[in-house]
Amino acid sequence: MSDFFPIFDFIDIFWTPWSTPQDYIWNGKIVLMGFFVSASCGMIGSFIVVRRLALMGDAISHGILPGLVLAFIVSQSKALLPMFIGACAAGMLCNFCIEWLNKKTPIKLDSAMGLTFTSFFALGIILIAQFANNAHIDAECLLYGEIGYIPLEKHIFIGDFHLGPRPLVFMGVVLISITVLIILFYKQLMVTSFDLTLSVTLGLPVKIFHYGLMLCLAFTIVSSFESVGVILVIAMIIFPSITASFFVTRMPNILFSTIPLSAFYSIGGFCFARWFDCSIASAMVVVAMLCFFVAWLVGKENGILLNFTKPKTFSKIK
Amino acid sequence: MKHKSPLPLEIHDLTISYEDKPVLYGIDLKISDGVLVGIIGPNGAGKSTLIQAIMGMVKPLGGWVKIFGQKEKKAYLRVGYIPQKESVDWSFPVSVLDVVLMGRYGHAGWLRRISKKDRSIAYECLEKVNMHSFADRQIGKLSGGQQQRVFLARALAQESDLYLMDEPFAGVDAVTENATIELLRELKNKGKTLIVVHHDLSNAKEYFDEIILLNMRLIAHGPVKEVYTKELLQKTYGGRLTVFTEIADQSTKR
Amino acid sequence: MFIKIICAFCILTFTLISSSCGSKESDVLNEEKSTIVVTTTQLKDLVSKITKSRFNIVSLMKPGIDPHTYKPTSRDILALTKADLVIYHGMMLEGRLSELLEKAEQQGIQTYNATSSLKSARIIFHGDIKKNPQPDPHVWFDPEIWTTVAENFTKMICLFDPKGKSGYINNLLSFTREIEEVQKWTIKKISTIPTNKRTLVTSHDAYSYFGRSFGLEVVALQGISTLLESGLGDRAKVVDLIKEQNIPAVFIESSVNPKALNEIAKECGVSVGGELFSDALGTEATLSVGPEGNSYSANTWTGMMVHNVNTIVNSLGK
Repeated sequence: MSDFFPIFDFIDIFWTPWSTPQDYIWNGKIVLMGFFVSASCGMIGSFIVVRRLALMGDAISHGILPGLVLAFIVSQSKALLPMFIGACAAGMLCNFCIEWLNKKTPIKLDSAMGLTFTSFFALGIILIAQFANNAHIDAECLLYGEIGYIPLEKHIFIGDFHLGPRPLVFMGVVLISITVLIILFYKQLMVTSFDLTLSVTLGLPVKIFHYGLMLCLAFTIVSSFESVGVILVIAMIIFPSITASFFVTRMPNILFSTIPLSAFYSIGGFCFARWFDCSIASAMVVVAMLCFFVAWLVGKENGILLNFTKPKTFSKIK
Repeated sequence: MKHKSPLPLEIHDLTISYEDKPVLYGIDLKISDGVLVGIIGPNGAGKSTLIQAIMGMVKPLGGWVKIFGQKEKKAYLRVGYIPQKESVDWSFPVSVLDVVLMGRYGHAGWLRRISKKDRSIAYECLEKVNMHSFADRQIGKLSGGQQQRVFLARALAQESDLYLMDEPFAGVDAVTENATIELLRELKNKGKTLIVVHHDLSNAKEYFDEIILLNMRLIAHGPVKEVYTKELLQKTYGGRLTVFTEIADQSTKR
Repeated sequence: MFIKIICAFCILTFTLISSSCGSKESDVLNEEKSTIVVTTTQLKDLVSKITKSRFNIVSLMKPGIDPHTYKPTSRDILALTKADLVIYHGMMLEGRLSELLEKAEQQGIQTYNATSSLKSARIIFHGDIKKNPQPDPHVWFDPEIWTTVAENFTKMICLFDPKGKSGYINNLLSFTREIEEVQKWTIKKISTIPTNKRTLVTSHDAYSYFGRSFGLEVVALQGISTLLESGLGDRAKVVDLIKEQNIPAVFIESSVNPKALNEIAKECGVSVGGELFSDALGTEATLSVGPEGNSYSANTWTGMMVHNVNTIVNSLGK
């Protein structure tokens, strides 16, 4: 086991990455990116999870591959805008297919998701092999973007003001937009998620909210995957809200909890990556997993230690 | 019979099928103001489907539903609905007060936040069903009767004119059942119309003013005295259970 | 539930082990010297041959790591920030990292693309030659091109550190002499293989330059990047070719998964000739006897060439 755990050098892990201004700025960008991604995904994810669509993130993130390839074939470039439109369109199409299979055929939702996203992914692979053999938009780069390269990305300037690397700025905008949208439409999102019949009674356009939420999800995934990788994105859709629900039981509290949790995942993951000298994104997921583990143990709602003697009254999350 | 104001609920020739299995055939119904109506019928008679069709949740093959004389969705704002217990996700991260506040969403505008007035109304409704001390509790951590009362409070908070309830007395303790029926009567006296899906024949006669007997078709609809008869009940339940007829006998004797 | 969590934990643990091993050696940096970060092992060899010990040289990729699929660890990223000069191979050999380093000047990192000033007439192009030509990055297998790369690098480093100029030029001379020697030796060795057997079957298309320089036909299962899976058609073509031309052996590569090629060897009843170094050099411990009976370790360009030539000649020259 001593081979497995590298030496824990406190200074090296916690101080060295922040010791000079240059390091500070560089690593700060990585940590901030981690935070933006986790928080955006976590907030959207809170609604996705209560709607029992946790795997939708997985589905969309794989389903966008053919969209990326087609966008590349049509535009013959890897410019951001066509890629983005292609990915979002494919993500939504994937979503429509899932809905359609679920509603119009006897196929259950989870099977519909599995069917759809694997088909889309396979279609993407074939498209790459046929038309874009050397395009460098391969399954690999889709699944494992690298958060550590964030500071190397092209920087954005407004006039002379240095704003930061493009993906970081973009993700910041995404986080703010998601927060604003959730605050604006909190009521409607809650009702449509909780009680379909009531939402119809209230005259809410249930479908629009569903697809709006899915579009936000696709948007978040697409803006994060190219720079941080899909693994981190899928994990962050599920982990924050599930972890928070071991301590708090109301939606607003869960949404607020994603903020400190995301900060912890990001900073903790960065330190963890330094300790084990591994990929930063996977380290963040490991930290998220450890947090979940701790929450599961000591959480005041349904945690196993505090509720050991109580009979299990909670309704199991199906 | 002519009405000055449109009827709360009017159904004409409503037919519904799931895939190829027919569930409801040619239902014709007219329900007037200020009555407490029970829908009674055996399992699989289409009671819940009827409620869902009224709410516009299932698309009919034919026929139409008018609520307060309107077919448009706008009319739904005047409808309060208490869902069947099984259809609610009890692990959802909402507190009792949150659920009741949802009843107020129809009164707040699209982008308006919940006001203090809404909050106090929600509290009052919780007090009416004696659930105010549980306001902050997560809904999954309540007993069956308490859960039912929360949704009753939500329906109250909606301040609707027509209430639809799907099995509000299923799996509920006696205290809740009595409190609920008290509340329903109070609402009825205020001129509201209430339609309740009910499965217990033994007390149906005491609870309701009018009864709808349903078994895929409309068997009968009318005041309890006219409809709650041995023949009609037998017709509804088929020869399936003599127990029901016995119960009916007993209650007519009482 | 519990079992699932344990499983997830195990998987994550293994991921960590696999990603953290191979990078245990701590690069103790001499504070007084400037630091050059190089991406690949070939460049590390080249840079250290010419600059000797005037700089700290840190290689991001370790022996046996495939540059096409390389993922940086936390320390690699720190090394990038600390570098006074980053030397990368370019021609998309490092995948996304190449792309990012091309624009890294903006982030205040001084970079040097080792292959940028090569004349395109000498570079082999793949893919759609007219529309979207993809340069083959494996230029180190052509001794003449590699000499040019070394010369260009020397020009640059003389400007970067004028004080060491005379030393660099001397080192360059001895390095080019060594390359020349190996080239002559290789030609002599290859000539011992019967002409009709001079076909090199490998996992991925890394040996075009080698084949051109020394008169071998090159057949590969995968394209120039290891990212794309080989299709069934490619596989059938290779199998047919082996049977048709009666090729005695195929060769696996140290940085590529050998599974597919092993299967083909079994299917055709030919032997696996041995492991060649393609995209990464070997370790110091692998020794091979080369020109004038000297032993060369595979962590240098010379040793790598000697090892490859010996392996090829031993199997094909029977």
